[in-house]
Amino acid sequence: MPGETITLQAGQCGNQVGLQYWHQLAQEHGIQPDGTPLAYPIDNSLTYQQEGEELPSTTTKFRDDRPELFYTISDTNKYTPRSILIDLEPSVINKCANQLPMFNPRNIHLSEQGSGAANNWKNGYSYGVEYQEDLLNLIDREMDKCDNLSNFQLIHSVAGGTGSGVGSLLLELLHDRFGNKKLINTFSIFPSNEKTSDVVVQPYNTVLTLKRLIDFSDSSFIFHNDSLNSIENLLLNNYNNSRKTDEVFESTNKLISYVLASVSNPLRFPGYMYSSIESIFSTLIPTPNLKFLTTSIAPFNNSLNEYDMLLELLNDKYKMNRVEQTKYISVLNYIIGQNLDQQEIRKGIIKSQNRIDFVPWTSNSIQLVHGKKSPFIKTNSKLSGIQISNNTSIVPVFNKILRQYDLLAKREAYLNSYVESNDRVERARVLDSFNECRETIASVVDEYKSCQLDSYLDDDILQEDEIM
Amino acid sequence: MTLDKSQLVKLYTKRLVKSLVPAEFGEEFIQSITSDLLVSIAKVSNSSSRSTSSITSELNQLTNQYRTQFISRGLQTEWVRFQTIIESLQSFKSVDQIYNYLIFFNTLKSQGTSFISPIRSTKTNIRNESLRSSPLQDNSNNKFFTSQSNPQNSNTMSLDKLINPYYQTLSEDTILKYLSYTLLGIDSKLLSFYNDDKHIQLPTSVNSSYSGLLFNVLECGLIYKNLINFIELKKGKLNSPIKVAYIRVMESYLLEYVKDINEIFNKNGNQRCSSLLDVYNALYDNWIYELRLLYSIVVDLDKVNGLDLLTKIFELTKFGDYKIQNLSLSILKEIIKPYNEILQAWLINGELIDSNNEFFIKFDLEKDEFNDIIQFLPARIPKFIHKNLGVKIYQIGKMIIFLTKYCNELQWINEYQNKYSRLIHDSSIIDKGIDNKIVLSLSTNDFQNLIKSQYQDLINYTTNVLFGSKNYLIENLINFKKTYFIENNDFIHQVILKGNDIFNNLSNNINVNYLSQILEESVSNSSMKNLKYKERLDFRLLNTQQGSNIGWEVFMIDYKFDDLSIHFLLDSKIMIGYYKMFNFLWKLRHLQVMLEENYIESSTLNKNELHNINYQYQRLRRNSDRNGVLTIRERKIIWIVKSFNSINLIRNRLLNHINVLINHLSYDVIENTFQAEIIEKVFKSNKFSQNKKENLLRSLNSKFIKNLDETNQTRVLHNDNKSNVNELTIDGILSIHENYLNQIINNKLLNENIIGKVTRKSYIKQIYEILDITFQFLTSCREFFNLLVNYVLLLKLEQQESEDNINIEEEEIDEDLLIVEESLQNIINRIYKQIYLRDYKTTINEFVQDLRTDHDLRDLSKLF
Repeated sequence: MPGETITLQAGQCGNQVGLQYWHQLAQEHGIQPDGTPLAYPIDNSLTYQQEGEELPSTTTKFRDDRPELFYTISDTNKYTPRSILIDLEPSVINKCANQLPMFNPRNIHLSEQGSGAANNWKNGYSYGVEYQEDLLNLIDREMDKCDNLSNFQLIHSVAGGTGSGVGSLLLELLHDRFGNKKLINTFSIFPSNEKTSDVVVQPYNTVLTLKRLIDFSDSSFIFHNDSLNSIENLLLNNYNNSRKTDEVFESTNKLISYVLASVSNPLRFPGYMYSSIESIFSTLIPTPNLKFLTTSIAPFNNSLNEYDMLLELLNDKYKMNRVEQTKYISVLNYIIGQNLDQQEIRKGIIKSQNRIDFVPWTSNSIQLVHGKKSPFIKTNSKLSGIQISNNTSIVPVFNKILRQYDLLAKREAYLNSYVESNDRVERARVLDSFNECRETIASVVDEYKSCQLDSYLDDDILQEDEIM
Repeated sequence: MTLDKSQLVKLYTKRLVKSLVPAEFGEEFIQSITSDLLVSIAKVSNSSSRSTSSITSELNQLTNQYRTQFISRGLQTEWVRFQTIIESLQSFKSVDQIYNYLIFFNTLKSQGTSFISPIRSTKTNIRNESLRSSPLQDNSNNKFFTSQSNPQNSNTMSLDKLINPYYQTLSEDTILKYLSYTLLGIDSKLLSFYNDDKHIQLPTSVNSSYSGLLFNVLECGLIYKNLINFIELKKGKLNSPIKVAYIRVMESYLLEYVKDINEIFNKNGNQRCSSLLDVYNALYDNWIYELRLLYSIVVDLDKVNGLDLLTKIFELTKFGDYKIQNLSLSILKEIIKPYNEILQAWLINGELIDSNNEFFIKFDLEKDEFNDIIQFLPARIPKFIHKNLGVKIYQIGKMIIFLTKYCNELQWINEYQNKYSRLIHDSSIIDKGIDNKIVLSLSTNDFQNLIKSQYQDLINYTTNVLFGSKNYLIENLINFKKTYFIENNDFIHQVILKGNDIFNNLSNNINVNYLSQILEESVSNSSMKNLKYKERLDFRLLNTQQGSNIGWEVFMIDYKFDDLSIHFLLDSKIMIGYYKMFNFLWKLRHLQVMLEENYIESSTLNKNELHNINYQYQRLRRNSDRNGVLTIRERKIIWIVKSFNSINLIRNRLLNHINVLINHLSYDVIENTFQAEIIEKVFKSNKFSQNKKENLLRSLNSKFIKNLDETNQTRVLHNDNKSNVNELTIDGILSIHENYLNQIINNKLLNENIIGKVTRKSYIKQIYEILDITFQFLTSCREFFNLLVNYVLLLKLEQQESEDNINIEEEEIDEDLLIVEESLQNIINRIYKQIYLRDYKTTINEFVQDLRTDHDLRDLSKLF
């Protein structure tokens, strides 16, 4: 049932992105860092007005948006994010609490040791198992504040220790406890594919996490660090490489959080369509086996109209993961602005449809969210746009992960940090479970491959009269 | 002269008596009658103070004495004649008249003709000659001349003798004496009216010269007589106040005429006219045109209504002849008064006092709605009011009525009434009539400016009332859009989910309390919660036959606005359009939500119940790559997973179609139309653009602007519209709204009359077919999911048992499995082969083909 969303942000990456995400939401709903709301701006453009007459420009009584889906509102009218912050080391979470005191301090879970998960999935996962009661309590308490919980969303990285390990456990817990009729959605940030990573066990972490995403989530948004960096350069015309790593991360996180926030735009500013997360997922995910979603973002350029923006969204360089020779299963474009020009939109959609290579069995249609711009955002840019698509670019992404994993697994490299003991049986057991995860990922790759065929829907087996 | 006259009276009296009394009575007798008569005549002339009745009685006494004498001699006929003459003498008021009369008698006697001779063919006739411009112009038409005592043997006669008969005539004085009576419509012995009052008999003793003049002069008498008759006939019997006013005007003219005639024939010495020609001139100059004009209008008065009369007179004010022009103008001034009263009551109070149905605005009291009651009849706008001005006048009263009766804006209306009644009283617009009633001179610029000013004041205020904080018209239209056109989708989504169980019941069995509970819960769980208008929402079930419909079909949202004045404009008749649209959109939303719920169900099923089977499927798929040989059970697993997958894909396609439809209707139809038909028509393209325009003009040409300003100064009031909304009359607003609503409810997809070129079926019919297919899919899919859960459970049991080596119930499980498998096969066949392959594919293909051949919908076809 359409209703509230509880956000779980795990690990450094998850909390960094989460911080920006809540900044973005707060801005869009006029909530100050301490959780006190600003008066709601009134749109007087369609109000009768006499010359010289001053109409009230804000109100505290009425509003069109629905911040309550993401915030609890106290009796004293304070807004608190429906968010649970989990990390094994305090630096990022402290930053979050400092920058946005609106976070509920009781929703913060920090490891007592504060030593982190050392980029190891197992550490994070084990920690989670150890503290699962605490974590479940947090979740339950937040759940109790909802009238109609609809969706859990997890923001995490798949490559590190906490985001992947604790994140994986969280998915299991959520599935066990709420998996029936509550949607579980993840925003998963994938590590750099091209450069050799400083974290050598990334392929293990990623494979182990992906297995949980496949098993327990209803949808997963894939963000790719490499792509994010290049988009960021493109969008912000930021070719200055002398910036500190922190800054680079921050703006990348802003990009992700901007997209995250935009995804829920039609929920928070409801209109004719897509006012529930269910309606978005059911459009994008034809079948539960094809649930990995890709996003792209249109450049912030004021000269773009609806048509231009829709075409820009097709441009691979704005995609948040690498895509080559992709076939599309479904596309949902968001154009967010005021008084959208339907004609330009229709033109853009038809043009895009012609350019996009759809899988054969789908209806070749691009769906569109007519997003409403927050009245609190007073920037010059008239329009903004994102695209969510379900496409086969997942195949190379996962294949690459599998290849990297295979390279490690073949040599059983770095396996000792994932085993309880170093004896052969334990190593074999762990490697078996690793391979099981690998197989699950491979099956998703298979699924995404086979969906490019006609037979994916019109299978001969369904034509047979006597199968049983 | 007096002495002469009295002698003459004596002489003529004697002659008269002599001629009347037979000779056998003797001279003495004649003498005695004569002296008695003279005494009585002298009495008349000397005793102006005495009452006529006493004179009459004396005379009667006198004549009675002689009567016996006549009768005793058997001379009845002569007696009657004698008595008549005596009586006619009585009617004269002065000796002069008697004298003239007697002379006239004498002349008659000497000519040996009886003055009561049978009527000859000479007569004057108003009908034929009424508007002749010159009395002497065409004598050939004057039968009088041609037939009058034409001398027999002209050849043998001397010129003197020849001409002499023409000079023989009744004396002018005599004619003049009788003429005044005739001119006042009274019969006299000389000139008497025919019974039809349309002819007057001229005596043959009047010569051509006089008769020619008389012919023209008597026209006045005839017309006068007719007009007086008409007045008497119609007085108090006419409904039209305009006609009554005309009669009144006519009466006053006739009164003037009588006065003038009396003056012309003044008997007290200073007689204005001493000859027939004088009379003719006097009448010709002053009266003939007036009378003819008055009469010409009277002729048709019964056939025309007041408005036509007004128009006719108005037309005459433009007549080339100055006299006619002036005369009609002064008539118009009078007869326009009743019209002005109607107009004024309308312009100031919005009252219709047109009892005779002559105004160009009518109330149809049989109608119920404000807008139907007040009717505008452009054909009835009189010519002296410009059509555009007429429209404004209509709108003025309508707005007054609306503001007074429906908006209760009494204070403003009161100020308005004060302002304009004062303005009408004080300013130059007024032309104070004789009776001090206010007369608007309707064709002047001042009047036009007054109307414009009133109109402007009213339209500004009406705009303020309708669009401003009292009614928030636009905001309410937006709210209609939010509720009836489901722009607040999240709210309706909640209603569908919360009402899911209840709406499946028959409407009879649905308690109103449930509805309010759903309403309350849906409001608090949607964006409606924080909206200003949430209190206006209500739910109801449409009345259908015996409540035999299920809740889904008859559910209706209700946006209550009967506390607002706009409620009277947007009546239930208009709102039906919204209800219709909601009903359709509600169906779409219902299916949309069901498909979304189906998605959640399948996703949950996939994560939970199907988890193992999926796992097996993965392994099978990977292994099959290696050896390719599958057991039956393995094939079944592939079949199950494939079916589940395909059914999901079908759902996704169906959902896409619904989404495309909703998207098209919401944005391309509703929003576009709202923008084009409401926003662009109601709001000025630029805020307060009017002033900007003026500024622009000012910078372009200052001289031109100066002229403009000067013209503006002459206007009564300077009250321009200074809001961001265009000036719209109530009718204007309603037609904009009607247009907007019609475009939406009759758009191509929904209009039953628009037929697809390929299928020859209407789009809406095909849409309903698709919706029906979707519904069938959903029902079957639910069944499929249930069977699937059972099947997976049985498989699991079987697996457990085989693992635990328990064989006791294996057969039973196998049997159950077989039953479920068979059902699964059936349902999958139904969904895949019937619903998807047979029904869905055909219908959607045909529909898309239809759309593709339709120019307006080609783009839409590409979205399916």
